Amino acid sequence: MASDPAEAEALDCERQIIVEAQRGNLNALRPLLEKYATPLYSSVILPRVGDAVAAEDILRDTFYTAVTKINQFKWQGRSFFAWLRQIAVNKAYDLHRKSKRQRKLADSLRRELPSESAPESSADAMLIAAQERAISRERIDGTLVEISERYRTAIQLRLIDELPREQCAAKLEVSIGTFDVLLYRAVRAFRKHYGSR
Amino acid sequence: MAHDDDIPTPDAPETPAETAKAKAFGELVEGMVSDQTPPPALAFEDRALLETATMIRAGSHDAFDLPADRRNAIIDAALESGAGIERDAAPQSSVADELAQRRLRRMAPWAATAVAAAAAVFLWLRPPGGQAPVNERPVPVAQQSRPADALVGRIDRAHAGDASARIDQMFADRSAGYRAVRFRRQGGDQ
Amino acid sequence: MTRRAFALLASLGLILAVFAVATSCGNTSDDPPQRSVTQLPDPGEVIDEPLMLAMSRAKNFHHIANVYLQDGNVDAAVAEVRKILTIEFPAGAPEAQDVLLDARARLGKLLLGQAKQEESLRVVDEGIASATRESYFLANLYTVRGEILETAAPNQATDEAKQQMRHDAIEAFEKSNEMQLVIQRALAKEMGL
Repeated sequence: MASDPAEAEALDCERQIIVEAQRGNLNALRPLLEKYATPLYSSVILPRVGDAVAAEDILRDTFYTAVTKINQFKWQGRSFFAWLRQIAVNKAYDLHRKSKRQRKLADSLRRELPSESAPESSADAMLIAAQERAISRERIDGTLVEISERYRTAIQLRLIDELPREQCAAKLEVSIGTFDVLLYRAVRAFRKHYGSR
Repeated sequence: MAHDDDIPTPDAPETPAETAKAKAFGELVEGMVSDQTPPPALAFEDRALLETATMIRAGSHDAFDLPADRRNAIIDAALESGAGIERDAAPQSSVADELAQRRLRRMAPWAATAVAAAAAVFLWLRPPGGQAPVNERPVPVAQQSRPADALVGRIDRAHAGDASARIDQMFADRSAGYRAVRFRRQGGDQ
Repeated sequence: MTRRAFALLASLGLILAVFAVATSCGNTSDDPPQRSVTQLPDPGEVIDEPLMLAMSRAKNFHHIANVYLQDGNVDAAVAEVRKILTIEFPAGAPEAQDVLLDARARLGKLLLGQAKQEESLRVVDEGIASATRESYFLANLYTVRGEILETAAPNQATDEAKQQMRHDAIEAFEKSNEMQLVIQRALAKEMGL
């Protein structure tokens, strides 16, 4: 466990940055935004929306909201990342809700709103990111068990283990074309079950 | 979307149409795994499946970096937008404002006198001892006894019985707050 | 007195006022305590030793129950979780209700697993009746209630009874969902979203 004084100091740094920003110097937020951009993007947003362009848009919207509403942020001894995360999750949910066809997925995400942990130090922002990845992984694993084993294997090999198509086909003892079909069906099956969890 | 409801079993024979779609999807996945940007014009189902594949991959891997130039562009845009809103909100001066400001300047000495009088009364009435003692200062939330909803978040059905994990979480959180309380009492300040 | 002298005197008075305010305020680096919307309307009390001791005991009982469950000894696990319900928490501590309701949820699930549906329902209903505020923990208890009723419904003697119990199960689940949404929105609002 990191030393308390070090954590307290890092957290106090964040607090001072926020105070400065709330006084009108918005640029003071830059170091925080730089620090949290990638964990927010890769651990919180992208696993929820699946599209890199949409994920960047949500990240941009998240930062925009955070910057323009910074005066509404109330310091409660928690890392700023927790607030950014909450904004991002809400926006990901809104994105899916806007698309009628994504309603099931939106409902699935809604059930996760807002899993708020209350770490007291900025170091724990990384813990939140790790927790996010664990939640994403759990969500994926939970869906994988609901689809057929062969589909599960296809997804595991190609998307999780990231083996080349040829190797995946060889492991399953099928042609590349047949593996393509397996993967296609597997992802369709995953998608069908994912939104209904 | 109509096809989502009838997904063939793994051993079902493939149709030529399905084979073609699967091949195209395979190539999209190939591009995704190589971190290429997908084509802008994709059929809805293809895009939806690609998103699903990306979600699976992103949720299973740690390294999904946002390139530095994109990150900086996003941050710049957010900060500029925020500053723009502040600039736009700045009030324009008007004759009415000028008159109001002159009235304020005339009133200022009287207002200051009233405040000074109130301050004198306050100082006279204030109990001795100067600054409020440490333990009467506002207590940070993290050091307060409070509901744990914000900490644990929504409890879904699958975790309805996981009280053990939640008490661990609560205890760890409150332990940190309790340490800070003791630190304050020993003369340290937050 | 000339106007200028008057203005000077007033300025001095203002400086005095600022001094008085500055010396009377404590450390303003802490924001005033922010009260969660789900918090009881008590003054913010600090986390103290009695609360930590009570939580520590609850934690330990849960962990002992975990060990018993690993050995397959559900009866012993149930007994350990029951002990949590006898812990005395400091009066008014919001965590008390959270911990106790959560223990009841776990106990309810364990008893349900032992096919002791009536006892399971009693434990859960007592918890619901004891709650003084809405919380995720109370919502969770409603979820468990729904599960118990859903499981017990097919065993009822008549079709009407089965139907009624299923209806009650749905009601419990809906109550849980509703409560969670309300709390979620309230917490989001507190965070300025």
